[in-house]
Amino acid sequence: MTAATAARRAASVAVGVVLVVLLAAGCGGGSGKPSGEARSTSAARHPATRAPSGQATSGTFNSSDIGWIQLMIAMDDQAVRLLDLVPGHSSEAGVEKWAKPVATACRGELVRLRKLLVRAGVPDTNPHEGHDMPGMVTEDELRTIERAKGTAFDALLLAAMREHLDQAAKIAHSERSAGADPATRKLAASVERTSHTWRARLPRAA
Amino acid sequence: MSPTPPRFPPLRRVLGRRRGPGVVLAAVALILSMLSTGSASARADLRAADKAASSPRSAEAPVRVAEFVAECPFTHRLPDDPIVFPGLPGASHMHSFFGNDSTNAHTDLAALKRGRTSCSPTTDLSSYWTPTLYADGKEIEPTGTTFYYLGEGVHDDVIATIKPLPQGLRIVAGNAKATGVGDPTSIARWSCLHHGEVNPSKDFVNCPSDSMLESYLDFPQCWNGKDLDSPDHKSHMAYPVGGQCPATHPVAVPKLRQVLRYPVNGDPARLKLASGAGYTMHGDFFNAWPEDEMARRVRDCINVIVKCDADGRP
Repeated sequence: MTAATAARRAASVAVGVVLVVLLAAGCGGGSGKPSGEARSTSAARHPATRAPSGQATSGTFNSSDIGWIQLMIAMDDQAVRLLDLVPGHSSEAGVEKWAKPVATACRGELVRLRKLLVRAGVPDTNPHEGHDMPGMVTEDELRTIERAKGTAFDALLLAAMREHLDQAAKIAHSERSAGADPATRKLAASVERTSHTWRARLPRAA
Repeated sequence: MSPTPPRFPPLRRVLGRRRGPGVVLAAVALILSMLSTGSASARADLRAADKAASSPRSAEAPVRVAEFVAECPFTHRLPDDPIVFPGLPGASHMHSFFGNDSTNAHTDLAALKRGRTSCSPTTDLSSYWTPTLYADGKEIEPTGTTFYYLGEGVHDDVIATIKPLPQGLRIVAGNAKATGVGDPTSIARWSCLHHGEVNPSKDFVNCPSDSMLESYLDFPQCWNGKDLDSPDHKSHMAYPVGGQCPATHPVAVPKLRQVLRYPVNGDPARLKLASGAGYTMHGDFFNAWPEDEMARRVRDCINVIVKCDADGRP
């Protein structure tokens, strides 16, 4: 008998002992645990036979819809925080005049996005919080911009908003074809259109 | 090279070293104590058991490990995520991809099957990706990129019932939103290659100059038996409880353990992941192993608890 065989035998004895002890514990009911586990073990021997689906869906929403809605909420939330700084920090009347309706539009988008999320049955938690997503106004950026005033503030604000709007238009464009839920795709079309509009009207930094 | 994170040895190794009946009983006691105390303390128990068993070590004692492996070097970087943002290129933070070289935002199973792979074995067309690591703002790609498929984590009777990972299955491990090293939802684990004296952490660690920074990440190994993905990309999979798969996720599948070794060391303050701090480390897996190749490995390596080579042979 080789060492390997001996070890294998010893191990199989160990497995047998463990099984017996587990079964005994399951009958005793004292430990509480093994009954549920025994059930799961037997289920593991009989996995589902039906062909599983591919990409996850939730009602009429596919993963692109859900990913897009969550990302846009995260991006618009940050953009609103940035735009809300304009009244106390900017020195340009043109910047203030531009920023006000953009902030209102972002808030409107957020209401529509959150309604879609509720209908998709997905909890309103932000999976991108604290991340440096492309085009997103990050916490670091916000901290820096908060400390700036006048023309310095305007330059940072407009650069950040340019990135935000470019990215929003880009992923909204993809969502129009990748998404499945008609209302979500319709909102994506609207976001793409308005992002281009605000981007075209973006004031030049002084 | 061992797939085992430092100081968290797999149960099999502990059991494999001793053979007498006393040790068998001790092992049973150990397993029972793990059942009642949960996995965290089970790991602590293992740590103690490993210390006790490690000397003297019998030279001929074979190590029984249910394992097959794929070594899949870095292929490319993209701000894409075909699980979280399918069809939305450029929507994600930066990812480093391993294995299938075609992966992008539009990747599906059919596309993976048409792609090429960096993996050894070349039969593994799966895609693996993680947030990109930066040192002083510059990308650092791992030079050690091993993906272990293991039986450990569930009891031996469950290991014998492990099913192949279904083709097209998507799994996300780790929490990109973890808030700190005290956050129990972070399963990140950073350590130093060949320097076990540096305590592993959920955040980056300071590795000596002759070392490399290592990341260990264990994927959930219990499947609900129905869905290849879920709306939150997590709830179709679960971690075992007390060595068993829960009734909600009854199908035990091989545990994927991602071990990445980065050619970087020293002050961790200059390190950052595309997802943030070290504890936000996560990994994504899109299974595109040919069904017969996966099934053979599960049968010949996992179910019978045997360590296989790159070709999946015992």
